[in-house]
Amino acid sequence: MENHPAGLTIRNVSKRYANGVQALHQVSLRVPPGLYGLLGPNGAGKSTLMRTLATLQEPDEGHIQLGDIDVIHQKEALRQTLGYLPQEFGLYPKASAAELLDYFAVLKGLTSRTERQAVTEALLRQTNLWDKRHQKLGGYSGGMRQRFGVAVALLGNPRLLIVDEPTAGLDPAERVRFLNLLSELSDTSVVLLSTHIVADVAELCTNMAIIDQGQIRLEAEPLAAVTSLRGRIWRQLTATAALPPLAPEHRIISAKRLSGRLLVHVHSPVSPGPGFEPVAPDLEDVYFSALAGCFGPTGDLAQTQKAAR
Amino acid sequence: MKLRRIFALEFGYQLRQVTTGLYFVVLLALAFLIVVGNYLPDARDGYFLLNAPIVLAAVTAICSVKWLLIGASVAGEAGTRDVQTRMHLLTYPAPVSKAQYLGGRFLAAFALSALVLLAIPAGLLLAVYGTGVEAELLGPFRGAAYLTTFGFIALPNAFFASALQFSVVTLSRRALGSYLAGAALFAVAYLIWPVLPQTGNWGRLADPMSFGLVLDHVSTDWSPVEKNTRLLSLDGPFLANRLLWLGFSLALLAFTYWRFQFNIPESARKVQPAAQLDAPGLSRPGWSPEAVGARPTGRGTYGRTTHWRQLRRLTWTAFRQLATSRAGLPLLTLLALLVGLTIRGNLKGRGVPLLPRTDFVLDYLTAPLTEPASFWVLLALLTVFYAGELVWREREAGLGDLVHAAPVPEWVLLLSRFLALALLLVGWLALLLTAGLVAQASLGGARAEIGLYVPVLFGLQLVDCLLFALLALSVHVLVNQKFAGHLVALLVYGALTFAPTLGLEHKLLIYGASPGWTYTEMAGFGPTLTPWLWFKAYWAAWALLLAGVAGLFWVRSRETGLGARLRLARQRLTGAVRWVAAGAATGVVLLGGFIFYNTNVLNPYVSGAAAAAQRASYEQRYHRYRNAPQPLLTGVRLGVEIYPRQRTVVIRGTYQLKNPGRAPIDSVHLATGAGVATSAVHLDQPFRELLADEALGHRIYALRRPLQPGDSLRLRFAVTYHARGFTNGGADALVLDNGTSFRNMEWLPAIGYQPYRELDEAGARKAHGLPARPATPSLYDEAARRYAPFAEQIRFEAVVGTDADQQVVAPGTLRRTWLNAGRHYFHYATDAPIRNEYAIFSARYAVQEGRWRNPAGGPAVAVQVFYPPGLTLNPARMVRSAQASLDYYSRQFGPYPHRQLRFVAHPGYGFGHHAAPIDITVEEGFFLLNPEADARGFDLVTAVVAHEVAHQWWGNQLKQAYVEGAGLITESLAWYSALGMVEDKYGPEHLERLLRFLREENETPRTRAALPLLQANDWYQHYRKGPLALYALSQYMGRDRVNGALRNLLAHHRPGTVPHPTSLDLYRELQTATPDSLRPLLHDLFAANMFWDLATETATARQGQRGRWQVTLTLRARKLVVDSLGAETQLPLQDWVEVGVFGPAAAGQEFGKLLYRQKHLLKSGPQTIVVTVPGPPARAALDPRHLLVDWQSEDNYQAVQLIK
Repeated sequence: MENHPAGLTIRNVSKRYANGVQALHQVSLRVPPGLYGLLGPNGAGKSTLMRTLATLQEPDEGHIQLGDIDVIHQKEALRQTLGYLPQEFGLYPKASAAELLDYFAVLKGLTSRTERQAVTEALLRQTNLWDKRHQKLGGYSGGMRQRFGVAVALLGNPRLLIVDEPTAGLDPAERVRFLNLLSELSDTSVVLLSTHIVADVAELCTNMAIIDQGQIRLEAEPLAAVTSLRGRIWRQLTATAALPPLAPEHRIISAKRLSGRLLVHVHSPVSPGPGFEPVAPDLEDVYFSALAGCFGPTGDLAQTQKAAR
Repeated sequence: MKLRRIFALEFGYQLRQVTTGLYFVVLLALAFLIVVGNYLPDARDGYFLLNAPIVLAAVTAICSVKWLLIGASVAGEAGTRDVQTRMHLLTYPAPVSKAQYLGGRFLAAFALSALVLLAIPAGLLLAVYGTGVEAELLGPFRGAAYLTTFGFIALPNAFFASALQFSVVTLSRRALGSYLAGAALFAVAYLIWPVLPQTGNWGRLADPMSFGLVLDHVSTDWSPVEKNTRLLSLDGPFLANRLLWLGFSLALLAFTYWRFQFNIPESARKVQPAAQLDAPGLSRPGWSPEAVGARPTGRGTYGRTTHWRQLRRLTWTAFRQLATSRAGLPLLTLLALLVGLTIRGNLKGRGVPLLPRTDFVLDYLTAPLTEPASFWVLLALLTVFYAGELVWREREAGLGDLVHAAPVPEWVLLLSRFLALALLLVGWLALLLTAGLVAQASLGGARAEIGLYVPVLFGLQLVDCLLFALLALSVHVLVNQKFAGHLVALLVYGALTFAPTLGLEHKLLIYGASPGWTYTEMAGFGPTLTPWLWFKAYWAAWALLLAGVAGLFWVRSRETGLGARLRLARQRLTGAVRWVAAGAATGVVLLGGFIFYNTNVLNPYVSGAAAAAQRASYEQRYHRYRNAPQPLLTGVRLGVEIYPRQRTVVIRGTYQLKNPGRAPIDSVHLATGAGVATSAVHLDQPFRELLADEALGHRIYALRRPLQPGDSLRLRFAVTYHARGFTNGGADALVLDNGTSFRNMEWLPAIGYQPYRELDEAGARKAHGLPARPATPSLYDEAARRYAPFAEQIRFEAVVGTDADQQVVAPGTLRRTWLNAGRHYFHYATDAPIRNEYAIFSARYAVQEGRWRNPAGGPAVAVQVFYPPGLTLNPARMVRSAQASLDYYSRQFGPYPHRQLRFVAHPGYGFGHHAAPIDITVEEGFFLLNPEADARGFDLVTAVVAHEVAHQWWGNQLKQAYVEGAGLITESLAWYSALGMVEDKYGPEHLERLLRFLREENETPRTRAALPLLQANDWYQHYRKGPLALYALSQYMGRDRVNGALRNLLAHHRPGTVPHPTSLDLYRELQTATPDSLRPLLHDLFAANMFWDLATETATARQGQRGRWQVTLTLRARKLVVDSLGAETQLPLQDWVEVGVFGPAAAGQEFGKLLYRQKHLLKSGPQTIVVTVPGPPARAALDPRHLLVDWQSEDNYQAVQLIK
């Protein structure tokens, strides 16, 4: 089974919180094995979706299937093959890494002592915590904690690995290595990575979705999405004050300050006018275009492309 | 400005929280319930007005102590919210001074607490004016009463508690500290209160809540007038208490201010060097490159085995974390140590050390968790606390998501918590066991029975703990909010504890409740274990159901809304859960049904209210026969078969009745016993049964031919007792495997209407529409002098059969014993009439025998002590005391009419006696008293035996009328007689120790308001003030004169004559014997509630000639009479008072040689007396022997200043 990992299918999942916030609205995704990026701004509903996949939350409606496991109704079965790295988590400050990892190994069903020792040792080495395995977790740095979290998530060789905003607290080098690790893992399982950092997805993910305000804005392969925007992104370097008059006429997808002036990216099938020059799109443009609604309400890339023709 | 803003933010933030409103409501309800449930009945019984200032104060004190547990989160939150929410990262660097930051928060916490405590006066007002209380129970509305109680009790308490809680949490940065501080204050309040009488003033100062101090005003030390009118004022120990703790609180706050630092808690700890090396950077690899790709392949296995292993690991981890926390085993060890230290002090009977036998140690060490008077309350609170920790620990550490996404079923998560808590409780019991063993070893004299410790602690007591632990866990799981969970759990605990007061009496309805078990060496567990087991099994089934519910609602999701939890619960309701629930429900139904069959079908279930209603209707229906002429019982013959193992007794009896009056009698009223079947009632003359009221136990038989004056009648009956199952109160302990005893009063029919069965409490009488009457008839109610319960003089004869290895004791001479068909028979018959009160005993006894021969002639008296085999410490001493008593009393008061005097052991934890004619019941604990180990050098055993033997005269020959002052001519005379006996037979030193023992009670603060001794109506008057007054009189006019008066009293009121004697008859005899000069003293001691205030201000001495010394004393004297409401009137003093002078005391002695003791006629006010003594004086005293009633006795003494 490990050689043929099953995909994850999410159909029409909706969630509204008691305070009225519609966190997810008819979310449907097909997540094939491999590294899958879920991109979205803060508060887009990423964590809600991740927690729902991690059996920690119930959707109001919808259906989620991992291979032959019904995620919503067969929680126990899913948990047996789930690795979850939450966005925020704490650790017992007075426990050591080896001790706590061993504890989680038991919780993950690794009850044979010798097997457990082998697995925890491998994981501690893999996450480069082996030398500090006897140190109290209270003294760990943010990166070390994150790595420990990964070690916990990897226990039991999960078929579904859910990592929620894992790179937020990592320095650039650690971030790269972490993503590499995820990439390695994605050979044999579904790895769902949620992030608000476009670069995380750009570099490694074979598939991605962009989510905003509880809705999927785009579901695509990153390269295809970039390709689809070719010739539609234009830029202008304007004086700061010029932004307001621009706004109504053009679909501005992003505006960045650059050396005291404003660099504006605009989405337009044809040249938006004088002063704009075409630019080669990157994934960031895809992301901002998606948030700006340029891919249509369904977020279906093919549909948008068809309409544009 | 900043301070005000900080205050406002904190105050407003907490004010908006639901919990704050909840605290207010709970406290209001508590105040309301305490008034309605506790003080309203007392007010109806006439103890005080319902809105008396002291009632308001008491309710405020109780509620403010309970609030410590309820409202601890207020100070806890104020002190730690920033750290908990990590907002301190923003607030600490802000330009705010420590004073502003801490001050604003503390003041907000205090203000919020004060606001919440306003619920108390609100609840009081609602209870007093919102429930339609009768107008006559209310005094005028006084705002000052509410203001003083709130201002002097609630507000300072809130300040002290807030200061302590705030300091603890601010310095520890843990909100929990607030609860621990609150619980500690709570514990201190409840632990100090009961020992206040022994501690004196330091106890009043030591309790920051001044809890016992206020409550003692209600119970002992305020007079009725004071209770109703006196406002709580800030003076004396109360003021000292408030000031002391105000100072302490301020000092604590200052300390907190000094210690507090605006730094981040984590960084305050020492950072380990390894962590610093791990600075993020490109130079160090974050991930091991060579390891990437070498992915571990271990996969989990799932199934039952895995679940058990997970359970084991989770349990152990949770237990270890809990046990090693400061509030875990360290705290429990400390508690066990404290309990261990208190064992010595508690294993005492009236101050006399007990042999530390295991069953008595265990009686102290165990109690139901809902027993409010024991240290187990603390364990209940700790259990609630532990449960909260166990449920919340992972989530608070931020591990919740990691754990909850792991493949561990809910039942493993829940059960592991329960087992961890169970392990901790087992640990606690092991500590307690150690404490018991160490105490036994250090006290010495008794064998430690591990075989008893283990089943009692780890069987019986543990079950009680586990049931409650599961409840606490379930509450925390279901409530799913830590502080609200604590609050709900506490409320549930309170409801369980006070369920009977709230009207819930049936133990099938109170979670975890069961009848208690008892174990003494003599009787073993007896029949108490069976009902205990059934009830606990029933509650265990409930607990299983509860656990099932908790499992279904166990929160592992991020969503905690009710709807989401219900949905999840439905999902989790799988086959296995259903089966377990069905099994538990079946258990509940079957066990509950069986218990109900026992408590309500096999045995009648009578609630407290129903019992009162029965007594009321007994009076309503049959009181009219009270004065109906009835035949008099003159003889009793019984044939008794006791089957201890079957717990069955069959009695066939014959009563000899006689018409003692002048009118013919046409009907016989029979009051039948409760809990037995009375049958085969037959009169030897033609008769007809007119009425048989089984429920109220009254029957009427009409005689065809009226019984003429002087004629006799024979009544035959059968009474059967057969214990069937058990009742809501457990199994009754009358017939036991070893230690059976029953009395005629409970089981056998009595003739005529029985006034003692009436309701006495004024409130209850009113509620049932009965006419108002004093609880005890007035001394001046002449009609009442004709009644005393069971006062008939009878000839008694009985043949009693029991098991072959047991011995029967009954009144009279044992004529014959024989064995028949494997049973042991005893034939007893009295040689002289006895009063109609007797018990029949059957058990395996050891016997200590002695004889006493009356020097004046007559047959010898056999003195026998039937004691539990092995307890040989006291029987010989008891025989000696009884012989000496018989000798002294028969010489002083008149002959002892019987040929035996017996003491018979009765199983139980008590030390008491009951002196029926000939046979005196002695509770098992009395045989464990070890007077030789008494630090006071006082022999209580000898003294008590003397007291009980004296009852053969006072109470059994002289049968007092059932009116006020009755205790004066039974208990007071018995102690007075014992004093004389001890003086004569054991010497003046023993007498002095006994007198000192009796006077110990004078040091307990109590109100002076009382009726005169002639109308004595409480324990202190009967057992202490009365004998001391008689002794004082004997020292003024001579013991022989007093004893002569007593002899006359007895001679003028022969047994069986009516009217029965009262204290007025005693007074008359004493008057006759008292010389005119001492008549005023007699009056002051008995006919008035008189107090003397005597003091020696200075004492100087000058050496005279030939070794003589002249001592000059300046004295102060006054006396005052206090009425029963507390009004004091000063009277001119013109009394003879002793003056004593003592020589220097030898080392280790309190007093030196007595150099002088004479009576001087004193007057009111300051005065000087000069006496000459034959040696160098050291101390002088006014009334050195404390003969007069003066509770401030220390100032009687003064050291003598020698003038060169």
